Amino acid sequence: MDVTENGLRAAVKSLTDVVAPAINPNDPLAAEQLKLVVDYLEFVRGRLDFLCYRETFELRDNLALARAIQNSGAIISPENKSLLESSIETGTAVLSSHELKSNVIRLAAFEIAAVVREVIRESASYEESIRRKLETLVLEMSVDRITFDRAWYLPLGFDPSPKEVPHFVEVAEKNR
Amino acid sequence: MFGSMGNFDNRDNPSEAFIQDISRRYPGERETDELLVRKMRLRSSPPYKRPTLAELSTCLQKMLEEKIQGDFQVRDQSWFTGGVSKIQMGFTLHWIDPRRGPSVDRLVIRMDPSESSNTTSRAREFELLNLFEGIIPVPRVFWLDPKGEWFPEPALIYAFADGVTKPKTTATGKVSGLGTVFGPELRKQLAPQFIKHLGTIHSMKTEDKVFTTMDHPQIGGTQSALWQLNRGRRIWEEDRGEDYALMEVASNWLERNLPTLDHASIVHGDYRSGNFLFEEATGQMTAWLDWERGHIGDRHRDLAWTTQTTMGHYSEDGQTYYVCGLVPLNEFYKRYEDASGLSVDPDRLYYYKVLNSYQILCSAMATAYRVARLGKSHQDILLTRVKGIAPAVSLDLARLLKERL
Repeated sequence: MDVTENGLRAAVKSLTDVVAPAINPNDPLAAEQLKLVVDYLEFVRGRLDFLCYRETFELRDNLALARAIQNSGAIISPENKSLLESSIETGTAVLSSHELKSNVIRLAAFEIAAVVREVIRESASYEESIRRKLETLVLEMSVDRITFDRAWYLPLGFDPSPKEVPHFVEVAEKNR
Repeated sequence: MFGSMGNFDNRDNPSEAFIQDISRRYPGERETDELLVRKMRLRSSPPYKRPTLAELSTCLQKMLEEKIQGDFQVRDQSWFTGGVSKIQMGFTLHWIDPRRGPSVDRLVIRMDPSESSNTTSRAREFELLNLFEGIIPVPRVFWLDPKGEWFPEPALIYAFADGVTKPKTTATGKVSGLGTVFGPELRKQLAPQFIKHLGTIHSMKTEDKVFTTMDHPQIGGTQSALWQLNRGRRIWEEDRGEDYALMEVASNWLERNLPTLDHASIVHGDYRSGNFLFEEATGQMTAWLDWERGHIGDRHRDLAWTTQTTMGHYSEDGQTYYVCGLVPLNEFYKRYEDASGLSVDPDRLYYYKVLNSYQILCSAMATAYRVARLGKSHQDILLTRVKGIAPAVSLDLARLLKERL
């Protein structure tokens, strides 16, 4: 059995109960950072069971965008077209694999995102209606990723409208 | 199985060719270029190691021995919090000031870490603080170490300013003073100063002044906006660890829609609550701080920054948005125009709202990631947390772009 979650609990307890009272009161940066460390460990503890889930969501999301671009009718340069096809192929294969490994999923997602980057950069020279179509696609398909990230990072306390944010599982499952 | 397109590890130890290529692709101000080249060349150097108070005091002693004629004593050294991007140490200096005679001054050293979340120049801060001394409340600057001759990194020394960034009783504004609720009484006292100082900064004449750190962008052209866009794009290229399609769309849009500069203003760069100090009892502002993103450019950059939703808050009934917690949004621009004598152009304002969101994402997603990954700053744990701001800013950016794609 993996005991990482237990280890994180113990680390937080140690920092809070033992280390915090021993901090030099004349070192406010140390006290401030200890609190940040404890908060971050708690954040990681809350996300631990979902790390692979997150990687999978990102890969699936990137794949959806790449496929939409592929089917958009844009005249993509032969080099980028070929890269797009192969990254989609690889991503699809990774996603359907029975042995999902976080680092492999991440690399597949990054590869697709990189090819999409090149296509969007290239689109600056496309005919205006095609470019606008591609950019609109990106904006529309960014909604799920943004909502997922808002939910994922919600415990860090930066979201200006936390009440409107659904659970990230809800976001990820919506488009399965 | 995977190519190298999605791998950004080369940014950990960039080659000179890589550094020069990015510098060439994204032209901007000369000093900005020098700072970013320096950053990249130093990137593979060891992680930041926090100096002790004693070590920093030794650096200070050596500097002051060269700067001060006669005896002096440094006492009461202590760390300050609050600096996300800079290291700050307070101390008391007993000395004979040539201007005032025997003096006791509470001062602050403001120094870069090995790599900051915001690569900026202490020399520029020094120059801007000097420029506004006696015009709006700013701390008096004393000495500058622009190249890290005495200190481990570039540093400046200025007067400690009394005051608070937020009311003592409020629980708001925890993150760098963002969203501080000042309450009706303080609002009444602080709002006129907030607007007047911004008007004074923006209406200061620049064309008759020679600056050592800042370049004058061309009036009537798009150079000013391009420099700011290129700064963001360059940082995105140098620092990121992942691609993000939304950022590419934003970059394309920003390049297609560069606005012309109608009037060259001094731009503060981070004009908001959390960056001014005030006396709580009187509501009098005592200092404007954090001039590190200052430049000569378009006033709309500051206006768009100041009016961002993360900077202020809504009234309890949700009807009124208070800019930086101080001025109702529906009054803000008119009062600013009256104070500055300068107009507010909605199109330029819109452009800079997009650009600001883009630049914040460059810092939060790219720079914060790289600096923390390489252990380069005194606030790595805070920088790691900053990623959490990216989704809300992305949402703003996507909504803005959708309006005018």
